[in-house]
Amino acid sequence: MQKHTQGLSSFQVTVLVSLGAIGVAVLYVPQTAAKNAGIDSPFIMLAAGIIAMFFTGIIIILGNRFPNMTMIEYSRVILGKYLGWLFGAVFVLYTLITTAYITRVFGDAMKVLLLPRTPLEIVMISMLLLCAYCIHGGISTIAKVCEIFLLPVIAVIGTTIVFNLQDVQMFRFREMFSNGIKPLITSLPVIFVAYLGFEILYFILPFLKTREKSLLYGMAGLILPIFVYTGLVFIAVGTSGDTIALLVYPTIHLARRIGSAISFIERFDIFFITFWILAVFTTLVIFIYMSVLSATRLLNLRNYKPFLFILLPVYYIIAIIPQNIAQIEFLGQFATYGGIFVVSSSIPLLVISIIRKKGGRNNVQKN
Amino acid sequence: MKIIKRDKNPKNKELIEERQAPSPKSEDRGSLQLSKNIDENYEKFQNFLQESTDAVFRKFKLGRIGIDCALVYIDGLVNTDIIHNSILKPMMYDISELEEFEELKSNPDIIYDFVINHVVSVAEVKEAETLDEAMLLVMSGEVALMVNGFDKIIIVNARGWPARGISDPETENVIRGAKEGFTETLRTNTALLRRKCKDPNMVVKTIRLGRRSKTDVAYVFIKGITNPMLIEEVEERLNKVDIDKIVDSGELEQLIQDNSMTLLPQVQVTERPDKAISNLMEGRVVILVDNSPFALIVPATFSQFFQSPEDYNERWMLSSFIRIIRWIASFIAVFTPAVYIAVVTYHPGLIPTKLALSIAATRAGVPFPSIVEALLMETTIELLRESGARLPKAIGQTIGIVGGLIIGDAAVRASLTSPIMVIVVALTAIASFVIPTYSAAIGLRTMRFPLMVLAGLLGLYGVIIGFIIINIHLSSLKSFGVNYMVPQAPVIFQDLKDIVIRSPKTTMRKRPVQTHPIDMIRMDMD
Repeated sequence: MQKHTQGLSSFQVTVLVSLGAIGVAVLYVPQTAAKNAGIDSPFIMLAAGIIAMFFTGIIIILGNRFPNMTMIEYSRVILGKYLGWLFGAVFVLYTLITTAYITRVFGDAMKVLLLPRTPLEIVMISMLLLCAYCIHGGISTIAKVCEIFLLPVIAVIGTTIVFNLQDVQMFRFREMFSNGIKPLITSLPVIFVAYLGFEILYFILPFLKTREKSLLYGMAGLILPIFVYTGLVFIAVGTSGDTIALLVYPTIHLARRIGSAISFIERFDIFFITFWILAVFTTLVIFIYMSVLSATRLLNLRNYKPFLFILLPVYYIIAIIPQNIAQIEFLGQFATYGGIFVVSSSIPLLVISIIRKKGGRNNVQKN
Repeated sequence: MKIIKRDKNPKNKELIEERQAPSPKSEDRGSLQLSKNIDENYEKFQNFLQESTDAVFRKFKLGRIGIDCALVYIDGLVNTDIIHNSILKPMMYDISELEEFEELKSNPDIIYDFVINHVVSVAEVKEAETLDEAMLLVMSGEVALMVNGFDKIIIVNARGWPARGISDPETENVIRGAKEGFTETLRTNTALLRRKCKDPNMVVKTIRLGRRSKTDVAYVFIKGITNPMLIEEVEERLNKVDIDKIVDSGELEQLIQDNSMTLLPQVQVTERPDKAISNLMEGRVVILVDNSPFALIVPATFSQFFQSPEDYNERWMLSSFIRIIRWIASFIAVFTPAVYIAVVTYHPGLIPTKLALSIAATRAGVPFPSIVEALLMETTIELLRESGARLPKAIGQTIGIVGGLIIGDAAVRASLTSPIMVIVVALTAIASFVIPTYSAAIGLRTMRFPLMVLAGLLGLYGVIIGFIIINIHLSSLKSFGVNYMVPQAPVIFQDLKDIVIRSPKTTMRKRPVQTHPIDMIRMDMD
């Protein structure tokens, strides 16, 4: 029976990409969007999503040129031994910092919104241990857990969006694009960050059962995040205008608005936070998995499980270092630009691999 | 100690084989080979059985020739009518009347075959070549018939013992559906299966397990539907079982399951032949253990525990409604007390104001924090349930009244607990009995205690942590190579038709993919 159950199904790839992208950003994305792009933000959010989808496609095409290899291995083939190793090291650093950043943002949000008197350390450590337990089961367990959590996460965010739609006032969008094209382009990278998480495709392609249609299923993974983020930003700006940029957790504000619509729960925002934890959990699991797997492969090791427990304290220490919001933001900047670098370098990697004739059909014949 | 040995170490293999060797040791009881002299064979039997008072030995002469014959059987396991009328009488008297009798007199070499072919008028007759083989058959209720001058023993099937009749399956009652359940006799059980499925491809294979108990274990599958890899897996696991006795299928279940560090069963247990048959048709394997009215069905998936045979007998909309109720009930049974604790202790803002005020008012006189209150009441209800399960039915009702009315009401009046807590606890208890499978329900019910502690420590965050842990755990489980959470994780869209919603029969034209049956078609496609 083993034959039938090994490997990831195409749908699992879709789910992993979706839940990798839907994460902590749910909580603050309308704020960053509105701050940088004003009332144009729903459009920018959509555009950023389409760009993310484009990169997804590039990563999958690149990955399919090297079956049985993760990014750490094929970047060495494409860029040469040393440059490839360096690129891998940058990736490990990026995932380390992003994981720590997510953990910290999560911990802070929990402290503010759900458990004001519980120490930050308890929240962060328990979450990291929970992730470690999940990752210990391997990629198939991660994928299965993500499949189960997809429905509750989408349901609670969908409820927030749907119940807020009636309050959207279209006049708030009347002056779209009045600031010209330039601010749109400059705000794009900052907003694009919300979709990060699909880098998991650098790693999971070798585990696929069948590679047919992997491009389709992988790109489809971003459809849900695009709906979620664009929808959230749309209702945020539509209900409150660009003043939403003044709130730290604007989505919670949106969730609180619908408390009166659903009469048996007084405050929907607590409910929202509770299920948002699931989204954070899946994102965090995916990032830690990427981080641990890439670090292991970088050192040419096979078994990643010991590494998991070596790296857990590292995430925690990085996450606990920042003392104030400014320092957390600094960490966030690292994560942002690291992510953009890591994702966008898939284009040069693909171009170089085509020019140097690495991978693709030649590679398959050699193997 | 691991009982199922997974290692391929040849040393261990030898050890197992050695242990599985026949239990009567040759050195202390003499040779196990049969001799041609009836007295020697007879004595060997007596050596083993003389201390047991239920063993019956009988020597007699064959008709007018006067050749020594002997019978050995265990009293109580055989039908004595058969022995009197079909063995002893023909051999002692009727044989002399036969026309071929004269021939026999001149040629004593054919007596053995003659007895089998002309005298013993019983349908099932076997031969045993060794004492060990004969002994095992005698112990399972057959009659050993020895004839002087032959080193073989005739084994006559005269089994007949007091057995419970077929009755209602008590743990799995249905409103609409067959009212017969498995019994303790393996043969009755296989017959119940055969009566429901006349396909000759339904194979009933039997092996003996237990070094001393030598229990018959039958595994049933349908050739052409069940995946051969699954059958192989089942055979492999059954063959690895090395234990002295198996008295109930529950013991066997624990020896062949995948993971013992879990609260939930990874093997489905049923008393119902109709359930067994429909599982066979879905490409599963049914394991029947002699002396146990509970059949095991492998592989099991989590969602199966929410299915009941009557779901398929009622119209699909009604069944779907009941299914939805069962799923909701499972969430209530596991999470309600924890969520109550979390909300009351950490997030009172979540409750609508009026309700929050009335909860606060009822809790005003209660001296304990809600976590203590909840643990106290949940423990009480578990006590009540356990005491009710063991008591005779007449006293059971009294316990229900004492527990439900007196303790509930008095505890509230004495300010030991708040009325809302009593509602929560009662709701949890009722909900947990909605789940049709007992072993799954009790597993789920146990989960709420750690969840309550988590909720007391971390509020709703604790509850969600518990939810995540449960899901990770369930996702990592497997049952005979099949993912436990299938078809929810990994998603198999085709199989989702029969999980929360039971779709109309006509939409389920194919068998579920989860067990990978060879033959997928259930109904013709047009």
